[in-house]
Amino acid sequence: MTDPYAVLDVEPDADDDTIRRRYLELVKEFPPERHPEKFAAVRGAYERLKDLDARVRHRLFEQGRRDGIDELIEEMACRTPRRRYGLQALLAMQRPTGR
Amino acid sequence: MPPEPHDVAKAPASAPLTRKAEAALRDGRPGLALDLARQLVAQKPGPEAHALLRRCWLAVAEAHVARDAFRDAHAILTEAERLPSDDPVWWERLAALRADLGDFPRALQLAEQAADTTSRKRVLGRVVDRALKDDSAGKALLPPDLHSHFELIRKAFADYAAGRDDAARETLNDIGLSSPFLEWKLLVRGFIAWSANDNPRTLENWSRLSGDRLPARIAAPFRVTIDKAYAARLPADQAAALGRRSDRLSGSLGEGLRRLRKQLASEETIPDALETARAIVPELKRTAPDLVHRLGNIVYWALVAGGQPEDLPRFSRVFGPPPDDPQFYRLQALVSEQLRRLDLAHGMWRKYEEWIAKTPSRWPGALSARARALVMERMGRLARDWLDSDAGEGSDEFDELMTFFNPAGRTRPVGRKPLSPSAEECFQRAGELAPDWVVPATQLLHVYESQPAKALLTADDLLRRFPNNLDILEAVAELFEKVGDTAKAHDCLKRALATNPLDRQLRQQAAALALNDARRRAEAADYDGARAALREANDLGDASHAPAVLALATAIEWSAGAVDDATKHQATLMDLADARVAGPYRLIVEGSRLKFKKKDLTPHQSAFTNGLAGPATAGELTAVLIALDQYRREPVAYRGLKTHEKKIVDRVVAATSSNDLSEEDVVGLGLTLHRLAFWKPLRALGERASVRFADNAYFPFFLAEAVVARQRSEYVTYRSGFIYCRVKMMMDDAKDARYRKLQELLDERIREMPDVERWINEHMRWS
Repeated sequence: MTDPYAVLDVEPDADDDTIRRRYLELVKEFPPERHPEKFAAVRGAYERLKDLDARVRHRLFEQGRRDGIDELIEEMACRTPRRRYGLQALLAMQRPTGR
Repeated sequence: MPPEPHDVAKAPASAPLTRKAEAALRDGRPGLALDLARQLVAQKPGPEAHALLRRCWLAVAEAHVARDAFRDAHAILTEAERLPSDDPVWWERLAALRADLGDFPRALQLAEQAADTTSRKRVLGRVVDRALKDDSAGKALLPPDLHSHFELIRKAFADYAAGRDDAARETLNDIGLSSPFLEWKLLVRGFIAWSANDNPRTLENWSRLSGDRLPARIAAPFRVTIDKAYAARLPADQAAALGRRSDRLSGSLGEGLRRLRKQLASEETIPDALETARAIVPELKRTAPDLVHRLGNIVYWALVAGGQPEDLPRFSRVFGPPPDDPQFYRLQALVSEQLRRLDLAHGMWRKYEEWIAKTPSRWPGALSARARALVMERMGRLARDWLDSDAGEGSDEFDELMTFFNPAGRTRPVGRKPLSPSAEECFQRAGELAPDWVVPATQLLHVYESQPAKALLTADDLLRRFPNNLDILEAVAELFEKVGDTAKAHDCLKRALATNPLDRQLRQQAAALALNDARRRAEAADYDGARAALREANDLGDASHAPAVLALATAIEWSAGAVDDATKHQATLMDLADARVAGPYRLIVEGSRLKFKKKDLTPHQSAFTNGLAGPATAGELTAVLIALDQYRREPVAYRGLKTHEKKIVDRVVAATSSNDLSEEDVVGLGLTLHRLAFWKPLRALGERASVRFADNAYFPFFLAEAVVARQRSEYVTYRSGFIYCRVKMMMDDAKDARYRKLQELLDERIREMPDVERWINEHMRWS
């Protein structure tokens, strides 16, 4: 997840205090020694939103720039109900095509 | 004992047949392989020939089974079973193939010949696979004691397909660990978890499936979508085929998004991507409306990276105008920057800044002023670079490459007019819009580099507004030093040090200032003052400052007539590690600055020239590069700097190709050049060393870094992007501790230039 607002779970119009409070909560929840990857993500997100300058800079030059379509596909897959196949349908997928 | 040459020459006549048969097997031509193996056995029967023949029989039989050509497979197996063999694996494989044909009694007979207790179990598993494949008719293939489990699996599947997961689980409970249906139980349990979007539980079941069994093949197209490690382990063709099948399984939206991913990866297929987006966005709006905006962002940035003007209206038709850039001014500015059309970029940013000012609904309150300040500051840098690039570096092959992609930018105008608003106006305006922001203020100082009066006025203003800001104090100190006001420069650095006493960089800067002060005092024959300044430099600087301090101390004492002290300092200097070339070089520089007589400089001159001419260690070359870097950074360059720089740099580049230096030495030199920002020699080193040490990822990295540093753009060209990707792949392949430093440098580059990461990802995907 590359959207820093989503990582910190704050609204796009959140102010410095709200963002800092949320950051400290998350750091307490995900300390670096136990959750190094999550901590790095939280830290990176905070750096991009910590003050007005950082937030405007992010919005002007960075927003969505690092988003990958892979994450979108994964998220989409998680939200879409996965279709159930019966045994015959699954076996039919195994048959060589073009016969 | 090694064979005699004539023994080697007598290769057996059967060798070509063996090679040809192996090649035919590899190429998927088992029929031909079988013919060749038969000839081989006729010509030269032996255990190896027979083993090859058996492999060929199996390959032919497997090919028939895979095509469901059961009659042919039966005929082949009947012949194969006549071959004599004590190999249990052979009999087990024949049994498995018989099982695949549904010939259960024969399969079990053959499994008995394998004389391995687990063989029977494995063969039974294949029998079960075959039976389930035949739907209800398959039950008749099985011995009666397996009929109940056969029905349980079919019922569990029916329950699962109807959404009765609990019933399916309960049904599966009766299938135990020793049942030949165990793999089918894992398959169904995996599917139950899959439908509940529980990927860990799905993988917990499916990762236990045997790759040669039907359940693993059924699970594969679903598993590749959630198990990246599994997908990475598959051969490329198999992974691609499974990818296509899983695309079909994921429904039209999933398939469309995957197609879009592929199309966005290439500039040429961006119009197709927009067409795909047009087809899937309505469905995406219905299923996941919040993702439409994110998809729009992804496509927007893909247009920045490689779109064409005609793509913009298409984008608007699909996603609507981007809320933060409805006229695409920002997009066009970014594209122009990427193409190094700084004038066009400047113009587009200007329009964008005006749009922000006119749109308070999108940019309310303080947001508007800060956003405009940021855009103005960016315009200021473009206006400054526009003039700098005109004055500057000559065109090189990368410029040529860039203009190849951008014919409009091919001609490099000479004598450019400044852009309007100018850099000065832009930074001033940015400062007015965001008075608390120091960046435009420091940029303004750089703009006034050649106008000391304006610079000093600005410096006073900055010191008043930001009395304790480290960046301002450093920048202003540098300015005061340049204009010769050492006292004020010193005062600024002292104030900065008072707030940050442990700041290493600041202490180095203060030490360098004290060194310059010492030199100036010595030039004015104030030797006591010079010695005091030198002591201060010594106290502030760390060990790396010792050569500079000792060289200047030698020169000062020599000038003051204290020959014994001068000799003592010189001896200490020359005793430092790797000082053989750098020591005399420093003495030449300091001596000529203090106006030594020619005869006093001659010994140092000879030592320096001889040191460069003969073999030099990597440490000695590094030391002389560090000395050179110190002198080229000083506010007033000494006479002869350019000549010395050329000699030293040429020597370092020449050392790259010499056998005196090891691969590790050359890497070390490259790292020094990189750290000190000697881009031109770094590029030469990267080019030469890439040929000499083709497997070392550091050298292409140096090459890319040298190119990127000289481009002064936040975007990388195709070639540099390609090189970074190669570096990444070499590092990934090597998984080597020696690349730890390189990984750090690459991470830093990606942090500074996210475009590098984009290139790496795109190239990786293509390769």
